[in-house]
Amino acid sequence: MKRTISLLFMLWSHVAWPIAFSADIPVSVRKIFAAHCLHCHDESTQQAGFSLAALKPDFRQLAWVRVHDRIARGQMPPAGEDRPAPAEIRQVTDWLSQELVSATRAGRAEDGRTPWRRMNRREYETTLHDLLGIALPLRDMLPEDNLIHGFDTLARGLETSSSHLLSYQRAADRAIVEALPTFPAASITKRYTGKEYLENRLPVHRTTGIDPFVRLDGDTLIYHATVGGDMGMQAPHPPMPGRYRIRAAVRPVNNGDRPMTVFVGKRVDRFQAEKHLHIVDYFDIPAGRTSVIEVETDLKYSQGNQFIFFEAPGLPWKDDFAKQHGADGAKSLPADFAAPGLATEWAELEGPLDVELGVQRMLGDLLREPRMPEGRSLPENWRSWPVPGEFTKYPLTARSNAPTADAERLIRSFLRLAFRRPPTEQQVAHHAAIVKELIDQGETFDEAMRGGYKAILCSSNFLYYIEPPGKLDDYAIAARLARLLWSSMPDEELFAAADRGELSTANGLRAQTERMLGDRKAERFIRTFTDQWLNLAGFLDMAPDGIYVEYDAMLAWSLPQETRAFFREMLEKDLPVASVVQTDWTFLNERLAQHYGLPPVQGTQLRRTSLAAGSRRGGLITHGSILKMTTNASYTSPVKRGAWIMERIVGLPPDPPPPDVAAVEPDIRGASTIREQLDQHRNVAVCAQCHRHIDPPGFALENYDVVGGWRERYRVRQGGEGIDYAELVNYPGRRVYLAKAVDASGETDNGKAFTDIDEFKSLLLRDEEQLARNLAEKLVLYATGAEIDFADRAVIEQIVRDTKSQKHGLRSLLHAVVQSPLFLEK
Amino acid sequence: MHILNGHTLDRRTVLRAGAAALSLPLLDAMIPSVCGQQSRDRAASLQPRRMVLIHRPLGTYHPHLVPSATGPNYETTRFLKPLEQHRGKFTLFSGMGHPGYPNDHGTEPAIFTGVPGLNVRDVHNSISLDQIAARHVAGQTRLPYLLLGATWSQSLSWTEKGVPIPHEGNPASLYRRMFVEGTPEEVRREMRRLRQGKSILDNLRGELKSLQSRLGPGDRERIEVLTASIRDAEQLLAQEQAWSTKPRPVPAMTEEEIGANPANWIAAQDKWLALMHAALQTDSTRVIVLACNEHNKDNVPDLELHHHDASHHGKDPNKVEQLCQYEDREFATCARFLDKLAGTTENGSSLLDTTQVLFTSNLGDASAHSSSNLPVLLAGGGFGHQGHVSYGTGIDKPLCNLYVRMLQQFGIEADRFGSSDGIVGEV
Repeated sequence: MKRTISLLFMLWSHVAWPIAFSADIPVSVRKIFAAHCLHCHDESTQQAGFSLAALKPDFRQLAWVRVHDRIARGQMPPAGEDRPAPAEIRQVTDWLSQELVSATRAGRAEDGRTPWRRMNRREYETTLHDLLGIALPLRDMLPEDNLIHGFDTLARGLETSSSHLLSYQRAADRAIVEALPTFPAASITKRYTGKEYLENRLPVHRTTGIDPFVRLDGDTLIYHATVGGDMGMQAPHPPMPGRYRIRAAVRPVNNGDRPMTVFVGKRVDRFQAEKHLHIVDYFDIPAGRTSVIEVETDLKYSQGNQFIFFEAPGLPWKDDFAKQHGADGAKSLPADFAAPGLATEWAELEGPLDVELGVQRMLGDLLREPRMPEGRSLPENWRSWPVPGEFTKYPLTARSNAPTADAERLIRSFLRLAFRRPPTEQQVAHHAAIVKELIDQGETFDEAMRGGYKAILCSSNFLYYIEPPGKLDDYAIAARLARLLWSSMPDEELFAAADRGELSTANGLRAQTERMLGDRKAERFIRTFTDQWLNLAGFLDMAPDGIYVEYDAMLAWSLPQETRAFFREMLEKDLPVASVVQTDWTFLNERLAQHYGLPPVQGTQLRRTSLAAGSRRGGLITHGSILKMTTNASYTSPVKRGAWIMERIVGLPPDPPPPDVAAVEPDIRGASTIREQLDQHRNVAVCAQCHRHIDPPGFALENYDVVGGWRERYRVRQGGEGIDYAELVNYPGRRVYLAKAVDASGETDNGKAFTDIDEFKSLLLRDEEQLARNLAEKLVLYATGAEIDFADRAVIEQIVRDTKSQKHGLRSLLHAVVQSPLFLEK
Repeated sequence: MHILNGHTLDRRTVLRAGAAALSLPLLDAMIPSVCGQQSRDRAASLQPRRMVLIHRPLGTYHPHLVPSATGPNYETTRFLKPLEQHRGKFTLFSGMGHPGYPNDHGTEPAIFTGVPGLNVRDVHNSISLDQIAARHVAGQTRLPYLLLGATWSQSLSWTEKGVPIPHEGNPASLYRRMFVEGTPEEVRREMRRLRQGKSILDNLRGELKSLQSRLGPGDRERIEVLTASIRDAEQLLAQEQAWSTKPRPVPAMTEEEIGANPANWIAAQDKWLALMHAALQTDSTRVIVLACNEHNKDNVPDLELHHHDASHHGKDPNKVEQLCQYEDREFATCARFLDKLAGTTENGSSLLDTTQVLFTSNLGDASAHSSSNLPVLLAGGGFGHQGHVSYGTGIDKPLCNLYVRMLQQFGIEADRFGSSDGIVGEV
């Protein structure tokens, strides 16, 4: 029947339009379309490439949503055309929204809202880490996932190719080998004093690399210069890859009453260093007493290929130190040496943390012994063999006297964790049979168990989130919640809550959400969500042009830290959504305060700092990280920044640019600004339509340069007419070429003028609900893996209403999303 | 298409005449009716067809690439100079691009897919050129295809369903896979891995069957995609298994050479290209994609700016010159690769003649982030090369028209690909 209608319609539309439209469209609406739309949007006119006349009455098409939105927002008919009466507009939008809602609902009745989807590679890695207690990098073994709307959790971006399937097998192999080492692996604690550390270094390292810059004070080793990671104070080296906790007792020496910054670094390869992965943390150590600092981090290589070191970046670099004090090779500094220094009393390494978890979960309490070749018996003293040593020849192997029963017992408890719900008897039998079959084929019990676990980790029940249509049960909710907040699987407590049915109650769900947000693993949500919502992940993609002389590694590290700390604060304190646009506080350290030209802040650790009234550094959108991330290397792009604001903050993304539009070609030789070039662009009607929408926020941000600094004039490469060689306000002594003055004024799409960022921010704040709506939508996208359909809008509106009393605080929004049917139904 | 000894047969004519089902025993099917027994014998020694796609980001500086004249007798340019000895064996196309692509670095993942209407913020990709070619020669070599180097986006190679296929970044491990025999223990483990792999896929297929009844039509469709992937994976495993017992060939380069740490990106790129040459020369694969990422200035004495920085030169002469020095070297490494292919003969013809090499970028002029007028250089492959073919500076000729031509040259009956609206007839 449906087919007949649309066939008829197709025949009809090009002969008898306008009145003879499909019977699916009420006569009254047809009349309004004919009177107000068709002279620009019929088959022959097709303004902006769109023909309403040719649009089939299949309301699953996105084009109908666009028709609805354009009309509802008053963008169509465009300014200058006859406006339909408000009643007429309502008539069209009411009818259309009804059609759109029922079209979405019909599609969902059978499938649910979120399509069947697999884990992405980020979740795969963290899940296996949590499941098996390993720290092995796994994500790079899997193909990259598609980002949809910036997120890696959307079903549409998570198709499965043959290379995924084969990669999962390889990754599972590696993970199992890592989790079940063939030598006895136990978590250890190693500690040495500064003196012991020094005395263990090779003489060749000491004579020129260390001794001239250090002195001993009892057991304490004091560095008076920075010497680079290899020669500096190191923590004990890890015996094997894994996650470690590292502590050190440190104190500033001869530094008056000022605190001293300690950098905790990790030796990594060059590429990782470019991504600042060598920075584990910074600590500001108060004067006058010993502080114990602690970090927890993954060390992926043993044998000294990766280790942790400590240094005080404020101390002079060794070459400068040698020039100043004279370096007397091989001799340590005198005991009364009075220059500032960093003292380390001891350093300690604990780990690998959770190293026994994998063995425990996969082999339980089964006996593991070295496997000896035929005819050789196991020596009595094998427990005192060095590790890995002999075990490489005689690998530790699990034994069982009742292989079938043991396999079933172990598989059963592992399946519950891997499948994120109690397994069915059929599943247990099936997976136990896989082990048995391998044993029958002649594999050892140990090998057969490994094969069995590999099959589990390659099963669709592990890799995919299987949710039948309708309301989710407690286990599916637990899985979604763990995925949202931890990028991982449920822990025992969440499992227990699911067992008790608590996640189907609003209070139980809320309590678990609160508990999980308080867990260290929630840092994964903060990291990933800021990476993807704001695209902070792209922060280091582009290195600024050399004319930005003030850009250094410390700044590059600090900028995204500010934004993450800011987001964490919003989440912890349930701060209003308006904070995204404006606040009277932010997170600063010494370097950021200098960069922003704010009153000095001491130290490297970021701390919440109040901003003076009128500061242009409140609100997330004017963070240096965001401003840098949204520019090109040598010039700021109002288009990029504007599109970023509209897409990520306001939630009204621009349409993609029409085909074959000439690119803006920057010319940095003269003083012609990007804005002047964009003006030419906006004079082209087809471009103007979208640029009117995108550019204004970008113009408002023009006072912020490529590295997020405040500017009144554009910086250029060289001198010339009208160009001054002037000092940078926040960097005394550094001079740059300054050209034309910045103009940060503009007019929004709906005709509101602004002269600078302050006025623009107040315009944004006029519609707080839109900011909340956008953030709710982004959370829903990330949390549920499905796009926001027309029918979801009502739920989003409900979330916005329900959080109004909390000023749409971030935590309230997150709770409201979790409690909404979008999260609780497939 | 050029058959040996200059017997030229316009395959498109045959296609138009309605010859159907020309898959691998292509010539067996075609030659008896067209050319007779003698040609059939010659065709038995016909060379395999190979395809190499090389992508570099950041476009080009056109004034130093594109000759002012068209046709075979152009006056060479700064970038083309190192390729001079291969004149007649390559064609530079100007005025090509993927129509309608936004001016953005983000077009990279679609350079070899040419999928119409690309939205760089929300990429819906489809199958890339290399994957169609690889499918065509599946099973004939140890490795179905090689995707090498590091990309800026997820991948340059995509499946039909828009799933990116990862690139390999480690030349040494690839070398071992292709050329180094494993120890008996490694071979045993490998056989076990393949056996387990197959049963894990069986297992997965079984699970999906029982799952289907619980899911709606949309999800069932997704499961069909997965089922197709399972089939592909099984084929890959079967191919590995079939080749696992065959002795590995000995290439012209040693394991030490491949393991050495390159001094800078030029050496690193040369190494990839040498490995690609070794793979082709030993017929270990016939389809290769190489992604050259942006370069840095490290250890190259005369470069003071990073590649990305130099490419956004904004017409600053100093930056332009820096960019050109990067490009000089890129074209020189490309030339060295062609030298190697041309210098290797196989059954009487050079490897260059059996290997189509495409060297291109997703940007035209990176300073404007422009995605039109891309640098497109096609070498070897037995095409009737034309020196410089220009489509003018107006609206781009679809690059996919060239891709269609390349697929045909590869022996695939294709008349459209990606956003093609025809076929390049000049070569």
